[in-house]
Amino acid sequence: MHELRLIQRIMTIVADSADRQSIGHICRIHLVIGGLHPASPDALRFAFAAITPDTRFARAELEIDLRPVTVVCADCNAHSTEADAMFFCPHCQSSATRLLTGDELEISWYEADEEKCTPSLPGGTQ
Amino acid sequence: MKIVLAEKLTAHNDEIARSNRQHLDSAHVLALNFIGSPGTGKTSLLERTLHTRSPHQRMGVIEGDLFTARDAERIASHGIPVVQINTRGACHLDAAMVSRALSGIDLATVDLLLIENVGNLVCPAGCDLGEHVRVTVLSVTEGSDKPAKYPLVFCRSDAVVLTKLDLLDHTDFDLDAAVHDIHALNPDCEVFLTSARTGQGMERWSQWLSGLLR
Repeated sequence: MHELRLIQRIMTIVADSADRQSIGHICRIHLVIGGLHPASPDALRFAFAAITPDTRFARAELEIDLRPVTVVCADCNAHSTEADAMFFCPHCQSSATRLLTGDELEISWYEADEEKCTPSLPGGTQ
Repeated sequence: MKIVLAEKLTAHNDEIARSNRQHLDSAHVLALNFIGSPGTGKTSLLERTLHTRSPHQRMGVIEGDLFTARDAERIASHGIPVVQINTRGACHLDAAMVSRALSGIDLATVDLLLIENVGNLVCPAGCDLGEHVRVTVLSVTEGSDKPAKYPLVFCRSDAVVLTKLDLLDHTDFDLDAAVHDIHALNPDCEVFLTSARTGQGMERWSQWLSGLLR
């Protein structure tokens, strides 16, 4: 999908928050993506690496936490974690199932720590 | 130092969408967001809908496309107020684009606003425009496996309009399987079987639209 735009959105949200906290450089961003969300983790990492050089995110690491799909059955109340359960409950075969989690895309937290994020420059120069 | 945000990436868009919805509500306009692949027949469905509407239904249209005003020209030929949005490459409409388009329509002359999204079965699913009703359009020539392959958009729709039913016998589309999968994903979803070419199913579809306004 449009991963570059999603990364730009992430940078805006984190930068707005960092400005309010008087934070300069960002060293880690933690994203949560549901297993059904169409955003591709690889494409997000590629877009992040492509547009963050020379910004306050240049040394930041993008952590992606992939959340499983969970489905609940309205008939037997069983919880399942396979995407196929959206069509049939694997326990009672009912089709009255509902998606509980799996379509999320959110920034859980970010970390700003000058000491932790500065020393990783190549060649040991700072 | 760790700063917890727990913020959805759509939060900013959702805020504009809420404001769009309030604006539409205060003007007593009901908005529908039509989502479907390129070539699924969204514009043809809208044209047929305009053609079969009852005289007291006042409609307006917002057309979303990457380029050209061709769809808006088709709609304007029916004497309907229409605004074209060109996203110039963006793969779906967003609430800010719709907010700008709303200023180009006299909402006092409209009861039902039909918003045709950019042709795409993936990206528009996650983007609230401020609509009240979401309609996914799927043609029989695309194949009956699409609800299973693109579940999110079907999960988040109030209605699915199957189009090009006049071509059903020329395809391997399994109608029962498609309807089963749609209802398995979304038990409350209305399903309409239509053909813009022959007019099949348009009466029930138009009655459902009228029912939304009551």
